[in-house]
Amino acid sequence: MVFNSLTYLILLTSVVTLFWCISYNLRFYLIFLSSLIFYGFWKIEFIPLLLFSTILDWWVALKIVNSKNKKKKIFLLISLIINLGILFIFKYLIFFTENSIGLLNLFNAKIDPIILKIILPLGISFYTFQTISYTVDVYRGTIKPENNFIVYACYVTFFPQLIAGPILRAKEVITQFKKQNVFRWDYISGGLRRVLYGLFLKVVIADNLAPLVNSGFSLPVSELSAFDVWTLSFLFGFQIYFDFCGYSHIALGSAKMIGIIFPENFNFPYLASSPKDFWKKWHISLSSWVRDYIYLPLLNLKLSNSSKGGLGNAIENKNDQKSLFITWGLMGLWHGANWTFLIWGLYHAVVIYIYRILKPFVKNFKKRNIIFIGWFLTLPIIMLSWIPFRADSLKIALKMWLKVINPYNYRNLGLQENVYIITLVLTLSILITYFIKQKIISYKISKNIIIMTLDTFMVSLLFYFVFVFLRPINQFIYFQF
Amino acid sequence: MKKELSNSSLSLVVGIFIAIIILYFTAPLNNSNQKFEDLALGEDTKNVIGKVDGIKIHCHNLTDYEDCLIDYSNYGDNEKITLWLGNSQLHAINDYRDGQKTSPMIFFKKAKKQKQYVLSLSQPNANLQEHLILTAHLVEKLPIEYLILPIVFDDLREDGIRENLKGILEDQDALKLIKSSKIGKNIISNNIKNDNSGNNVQKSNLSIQDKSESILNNRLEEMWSLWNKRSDLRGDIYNSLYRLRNYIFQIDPTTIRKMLPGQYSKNLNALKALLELTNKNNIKTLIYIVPIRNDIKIPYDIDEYMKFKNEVDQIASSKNISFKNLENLIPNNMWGKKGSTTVKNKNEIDFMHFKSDGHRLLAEKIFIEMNKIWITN
Repeated sequence: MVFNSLTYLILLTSVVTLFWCISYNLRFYLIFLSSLIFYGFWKIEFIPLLLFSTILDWWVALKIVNSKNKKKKIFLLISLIINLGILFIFKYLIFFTENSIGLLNLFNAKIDPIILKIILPLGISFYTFQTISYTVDVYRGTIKPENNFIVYACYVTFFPQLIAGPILRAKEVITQFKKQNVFRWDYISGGLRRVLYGLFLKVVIADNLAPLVNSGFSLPVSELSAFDVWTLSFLFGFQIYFDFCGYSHIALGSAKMIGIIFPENFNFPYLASSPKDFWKKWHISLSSWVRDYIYLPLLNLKLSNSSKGGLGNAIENKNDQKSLFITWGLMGLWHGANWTFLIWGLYHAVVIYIYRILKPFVKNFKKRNIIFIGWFLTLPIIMLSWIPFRADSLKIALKMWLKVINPYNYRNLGLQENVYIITLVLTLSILITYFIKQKIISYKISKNIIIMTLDTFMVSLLFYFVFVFLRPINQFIYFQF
Repeated sequence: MKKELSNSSLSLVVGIFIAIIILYFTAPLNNSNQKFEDLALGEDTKNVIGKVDGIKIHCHNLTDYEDCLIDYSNYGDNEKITLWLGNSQLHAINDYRDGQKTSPMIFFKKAKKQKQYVLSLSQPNANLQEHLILTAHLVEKLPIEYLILPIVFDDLREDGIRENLKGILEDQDALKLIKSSKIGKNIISNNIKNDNSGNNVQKSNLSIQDKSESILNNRLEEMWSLWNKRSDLRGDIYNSLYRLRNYIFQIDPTTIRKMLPGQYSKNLNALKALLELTNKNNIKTLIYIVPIRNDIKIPYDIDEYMKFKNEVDQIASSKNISFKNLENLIPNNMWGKKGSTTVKNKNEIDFMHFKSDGHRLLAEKIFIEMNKIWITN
């Protein structure tokens, strides 16, 4: 089920109303059942796969706790092999087969292409990572396994985060599920605000950017100027941000309405002052997952067991660039089985690597200057990374990148005038929104009648636009991962 | 803390309440509001839906085109069809007076005497990619023997397929024809709705969500007039933004519109594909450069416009297609002004839509040209 639909709003209203009316024990069954309904509205035939993955890790975790060292490892391996195996079959098999045949044919093997039609189950990358993190955490002894299956099943299948995250840690959510929450109006009003805000970002902004981005990326690259490539990279950067950030707001808001607080997934990422800072602010739950379950283990460092972003000083003394590149390669491939995603991941690895090299040289600069110059450099670098993420093929992505580095391509404009105007307006809007949120609202004036009036005006505006534009015309971009 | 929370809840409730009141106030009283794509017409130029002697011979999209088909099949004589595609120039009359007719209506009457049935289909700012898929769809459905295709420099800046034509991409026969060209494949891949595996989602294979959404929407539209008017409200918002942009950047019909190389090349490729398609299906085609007002400096870069005319001429020659340049056909007195397309109330020059006399002149010229083709076939 998609969030930007009437169907979801009806489901959410029903679940929230029932949740606060029924007894504590029944709430788990309500969440589990509504999550299965939520998932089944996409394709009912994939529910067994979701249940299999859920049951497997619940069972494995219990076995791990009751086993001794060697057996523990075997159970962990069973979980990893089966989970990653399922992910491989559904997500990477076509890519692997096509490329293997292509490679063999390079050596004159003359193998006919095999046509595989495999539908990628919605949310598989997200719930697989979530179940893996649970089993690994139990194996490491950082959490105790959950004995009650229905509670565990709620953690994996909880509908606000099932399809596109945030990827949650068991420790953060299961304890909240088990808490006997009492109804509070601020759960409803706070949650509703987030849902409204998320819907606005998705149906009003992201969905209206989509046709411009699609049209721009369908143009022949030979006819695009360097300005056009920059503009398209910014525009897609905004589309994917508003799309995914909108989704996360709706997820957080929906969960809050039944008293579950998710960690934030975005925090003005395009105002980051360095590539490292960007990944503390963008898709925080994924970057922290990758940090804790891939990067730090590769460096032989301990898990932090929290979905909060950032590395802190954990790697100050480590200088293993191989781990950096492996992690980012995997991060890229997590997004999709395509060379474009791998390149996207490696691009970020290179950028972070360069940042690490340059960082010591700017230590003596004034902090304000570092932040401003950092932002000024980071924003275009990050935006340019979206080119392979959105381009139809690696060839097109590379051609677009080449456009940017050739000074002769900075001579004309080839897109509709509106595209440039919208891109500029959005860039300024993000700066203004940040300024208003951070610098004005945070100054102890939240009780001020002016702020309350402005708040009411904002809600009216959001509701007006969401009402007018609410249509499930476009899936969320992250559904395809 | 409690006070802040209650303030927050209060502003949420009040905010939603105010929004609903504003929605009721801003919702149009009827559904006849000007559509966004028609906005550039201005207020003095009127769309005329072509009916001749009660027969609908001119349609705008795939929905009302069904009415055209019914009237054609009821017509009885199964005459050969001459299809005239185009943009708003075909269906809009500047300085309209009751009873005035568009070119396709006048042409229909003249062609009837030659045992030709003329069917027109025009949409505002229609681009050549849209004409390509429309032709692929129609040649499979109708006994089309002749095609008249206006080429509009302005519309080569347009890209993509509008929503009301995307249904064509579910027509398997049309898809086969469209796929036969590179640009056709490009159109399909950019516009078809795919599932996660990249397979084309057909109407018969919709998810429970698609079905429930359709039921809920239909129900709400029946029960709640405000819900029904959401598309008009969306149109109003786009219209306001369009006017605001024109006002801020001082854009009016005389502003020079630069050629957009990407869109231009896609549309000319679509033209080539279209002409190959008509040639393969033995459809005799006339293409023409549309009339434009030339008593005032035209809103194009002259070099680009010259290049465009030469290229179209070359494409026509290479495909052995009849070509006419009608840019100077309509005299200055047959053009007019149109209502403002900015927030200011000031009449603007209309470069695209002429008065009813212009429509008569165009119909006569097209008749002469088509007559030559009909006679030789």
